[in-house]
Amino acid sequence: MAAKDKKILEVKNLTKFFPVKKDFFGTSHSMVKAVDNVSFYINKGETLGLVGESGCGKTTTGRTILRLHEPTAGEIIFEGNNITEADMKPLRKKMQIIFQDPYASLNPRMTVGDIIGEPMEIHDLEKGSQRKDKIYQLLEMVGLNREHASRYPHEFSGGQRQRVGIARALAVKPEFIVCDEPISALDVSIQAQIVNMLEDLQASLGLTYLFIAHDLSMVKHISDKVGVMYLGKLIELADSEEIYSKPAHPYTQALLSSIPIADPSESRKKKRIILEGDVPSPINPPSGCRFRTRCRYSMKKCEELEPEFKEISIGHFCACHLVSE
Amino acid sequence: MNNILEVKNLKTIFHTYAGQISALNNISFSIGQGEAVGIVGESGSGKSVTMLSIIKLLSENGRIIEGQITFNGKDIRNAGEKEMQNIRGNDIGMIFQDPMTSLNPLFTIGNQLMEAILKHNRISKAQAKQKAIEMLKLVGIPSPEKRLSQYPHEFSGGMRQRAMIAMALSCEPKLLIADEPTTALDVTIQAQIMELMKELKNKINTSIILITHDLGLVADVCDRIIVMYGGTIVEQGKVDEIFYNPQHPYTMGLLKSIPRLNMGKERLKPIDGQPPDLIGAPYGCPFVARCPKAMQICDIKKPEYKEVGKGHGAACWLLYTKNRGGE
Repeated sequence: MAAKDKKILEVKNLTKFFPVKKDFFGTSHSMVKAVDNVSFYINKGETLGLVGESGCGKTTTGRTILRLHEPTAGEIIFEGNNITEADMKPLRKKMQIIFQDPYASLNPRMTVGDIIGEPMEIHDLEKGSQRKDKIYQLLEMVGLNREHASRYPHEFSGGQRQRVGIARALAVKPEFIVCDEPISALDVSIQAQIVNMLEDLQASLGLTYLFIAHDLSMVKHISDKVGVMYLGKLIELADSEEIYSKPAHPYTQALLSSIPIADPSESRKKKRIILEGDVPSPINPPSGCRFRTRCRYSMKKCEELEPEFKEISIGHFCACHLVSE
Repeated sequence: MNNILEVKNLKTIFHTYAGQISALNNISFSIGQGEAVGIVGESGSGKSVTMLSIIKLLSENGRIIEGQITFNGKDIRNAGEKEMQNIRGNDIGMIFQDPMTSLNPLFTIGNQLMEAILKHNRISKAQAKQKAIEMLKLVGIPSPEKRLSQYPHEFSGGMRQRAMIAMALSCEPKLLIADEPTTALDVTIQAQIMELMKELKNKINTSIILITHDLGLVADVCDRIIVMYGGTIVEQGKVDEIFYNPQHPYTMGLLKSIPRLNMGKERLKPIDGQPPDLIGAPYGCPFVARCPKAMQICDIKKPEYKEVGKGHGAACWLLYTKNRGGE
């Protein structure tokens, strides 16, 4: 475990704004603040879970790290190198992504073998019969078999397609994988299969994951650390045990309390914090703390001053005026 | 407790190019007055088809070939479209999965709400408007007077689902069928909607069928659970019975495969294999290919549903063998 404590990826003040509502001349006057000043790091071999509601910027964060979106500001440091402006092609060998929707992320006109072989083609790895062997090996690694190589995606179920997507990500022997809601589109009984597989692959290949999801119980299960996002801001970050046992931010508390528990007697005992209202628009977020419009503890200060993202105990960060006092 | 809905030996099939799909095989269950029942299962297990069969909104290639559906003491299996129109929205309220697509984008929320109210009640437009405002207030939409004249795109997902619930409840239905009402919503909004449904159940004593794949939701809201797999009911019983004393291997597997917050880092125990293909005539137990306890008979003959206690039973051959070693 000693080698674990090496940062493989660090983001500093990562920011991504998307322009909206272009006027006649094509200039835009407002911005969706999808990701706003987010900083964190991931150690090698670890899993960082990123949770939050839809529109909070978790997917954008994942994609911006891979430079599938160009960051508006901030730095991305991968293995000690600043890659914010680097040529991504050689780096994509090391950084891969698994997409949410296994139905949309595989080309229906390509065979599974071609889909898995394509990254090798692009990066000029393994040729001819070697590549074929590698494809078979990858298929077996994700629990499919070599006969599947000549089939097309539509012949597979959702869970199997997700396995193909994972095999494709592994084809270039990456070190870091962004898992963007890899199990949300799957049936409950299949989710556990995929999660177990991701864990096995991590153990055998030493992978590092950024695991993005909205299913908090699954995130707790797979992650070493968990970050909670709200409206483009990272509001809390801690070890996964810590964040679930001692959530500090009122939003994290509400989020945790609103997960339905699959245990009737626990469920009856539980006191729910029901948040009022909806998430405000990220085009025009509330001043000060972005959560204040739905927060039970909202004070005057929250309106005026944006809380700092501070370490409140070792390795536990939180952005809230309540805890920073 | 009087039963508001009774379904007996319901069989529904679909004709497709690939062959005939037996979507429902001999489904029998009942819903009591004021009772909340959860129907749980994976996609393709037949939960939604069950609901569509009851309200007769099956697509054109679907047909009920056997069985009885008794609603409020009346057999509605052979009811005509006109009769069903009077039942739907009036006696049976429906909430569909996707609030983004189940509202008409061209009409205001008020218009759509009042349409339902005016269709089933002999009241004036002004009264209907009053009622619509009342309903929006009931489901917790702020400034309902203003909201009435807005279009669906001006509502957020959670708000739209609330509007759908308001619509479904506007005629005070005896039965509310909610098909994955919160799947498209975020957890904090889901908690709001679920709280609202519980409240309504207590306030107007509506019976609720909650169709979902989330076991956590049923644990929270429902009195009873029906577990479906491959077009059959594999187990049903009270919430506590299903969670603490499951009888069917599928229910057991399902409960083990979900991570819980109070659980440590131990490995998840998934159910191996894939859900079954329903094309062709079914024989044997639908779960046999994935069952860790499958026996010879499971391949050949379909197990009959057997009660193990009052209102709790499962369809599994294990229940017929005498000395089945503990769990």
